[in-house]
Amino acid sequence: MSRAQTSLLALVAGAALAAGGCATFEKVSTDAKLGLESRITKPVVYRLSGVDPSLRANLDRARSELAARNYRVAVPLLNRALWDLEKIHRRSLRLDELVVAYDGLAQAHLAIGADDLAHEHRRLSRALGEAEARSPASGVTQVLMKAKDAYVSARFRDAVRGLQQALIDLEDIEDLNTRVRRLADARCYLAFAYFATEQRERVRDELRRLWALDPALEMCRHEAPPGVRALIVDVQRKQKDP
Amino acid sequence: MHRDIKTSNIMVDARWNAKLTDFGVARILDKPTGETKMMIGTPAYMAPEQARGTPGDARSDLFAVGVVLYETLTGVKAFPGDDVATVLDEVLHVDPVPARERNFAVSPALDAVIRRAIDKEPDDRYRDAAAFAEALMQAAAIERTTTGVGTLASYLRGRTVVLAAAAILVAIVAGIVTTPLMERVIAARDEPRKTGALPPSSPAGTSVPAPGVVDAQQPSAKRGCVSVNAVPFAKVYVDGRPVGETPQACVRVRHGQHSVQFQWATEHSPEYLITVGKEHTAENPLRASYDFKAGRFVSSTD
Repeated sequence: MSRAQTSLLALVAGAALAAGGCATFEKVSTDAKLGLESRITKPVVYRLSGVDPSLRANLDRARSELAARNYRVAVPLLNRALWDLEKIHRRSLRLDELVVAYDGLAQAHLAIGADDLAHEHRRLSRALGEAEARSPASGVTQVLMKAKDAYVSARFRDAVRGLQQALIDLEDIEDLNTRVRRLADARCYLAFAYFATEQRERVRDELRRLWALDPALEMCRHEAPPGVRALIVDVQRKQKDP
Repeated sequence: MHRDIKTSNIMVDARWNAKLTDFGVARILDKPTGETKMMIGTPAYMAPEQARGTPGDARSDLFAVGVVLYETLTGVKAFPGDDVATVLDEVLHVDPVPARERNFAVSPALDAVIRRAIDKEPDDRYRDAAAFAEALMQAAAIERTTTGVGTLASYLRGRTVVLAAAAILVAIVAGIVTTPLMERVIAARDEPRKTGALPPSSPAGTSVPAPGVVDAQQPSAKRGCVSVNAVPFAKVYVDGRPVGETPQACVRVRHGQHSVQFQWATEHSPEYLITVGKEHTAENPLRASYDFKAGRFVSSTD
């Protein structure tokens, strides 16, 4: 082997080692960041806000699964995390964390190939981020009522737009029970409106999220048309036995 | 073209190979004939253009395969009218309830394939049997990647039907390729067929007087969208015919005046007269909604 060949081989080997090293370092760095955040930073922030840090357990697990590229495992964890995070009383922290959860859902759906759902979650994440910057509004339940009216009067596209907006505006409700109940209501009607516009995968996505709150889906089932009830049964069966 | 594809003309052998039979009413696509205004085929499987008495083309056969697939997967006919006139009216003007709403084992992808196959407008259907077969196989592949172990049995049942339909489509392609042979067979059998085409003067049987003679001279009816809903929910009837359940963002009906009625359990709404025009598109449908609890139609406030 000539000296030139030896040098070239050494150069290639060096580049390969450097590239591998960078990738390893990047992974270690991501793991370290996630570990630091879940074990130290966020628990401190939660405690300072008077919130039980265990409320972040599902979000932390989901982010670990995302980092490990287990996207299908991450989605149900993130769906549960969305309802856990609603228990955070401090609005700014709640919205911050919801942004993280919706970003995670967007990332997972993009990786799974559900681009449409990924786009929707990314949009929600952005909107919640923007909402955090403004003061809480009053009379937000009007937005939900108008959207439900649109659904009842067969203005389904208006209903979808209104209900998506309601998911953001309802975060301004202070009382936990009222907020969660209204959000679940908005998600139910969003599922109905998606059903009317034949967006079945979105219906399922909403039902899976509602299942994370209430596996019986009682609230939604009560008002659901027969077609949505059939989907509810199917989602329940698949969530229990995926 | 075969022109008379229907469930009773498909035979399945012990190995689940589907065979298309009875090419008795097949005609050469470009064969000049004075019978082009005659309605040929079986009404419940007939494409709208055939129901109008126009010759149709290969896409008319694909419509029939779509209807067979619908029936096989749901157990009910896509156009279930009690008499020939009603069936023809449904073929021409009513979109069947989506297969997925009748049988939940039908995947969204397969549902979409069926809907496209039985679209009223030939241009909106698959351009040929190969494209249809490919779409079916893709739908089966999507189902395979998304179906869990728990639904394996229903998946296999559905997949068998899909594969059978794909086999029929292959048979159609083969039929078109061997048309010269079929022409000789038909020429040698110059006698009325037991099913399908009958002379216009024939008594009522599977054939009906040719309403298409009039329709064929008119452009195909344009349709608009009616968005329907009800509280709590309801079956919807347009001009007395069922068109599915609420909520639906777009029930497609011909331009013109129609009556809409809702039924919830044993209660019926009053009839609601609507006039559907070209402005009533999927993006801007006419709306009709009835609140059974309040006993009134819901007015739109947009």
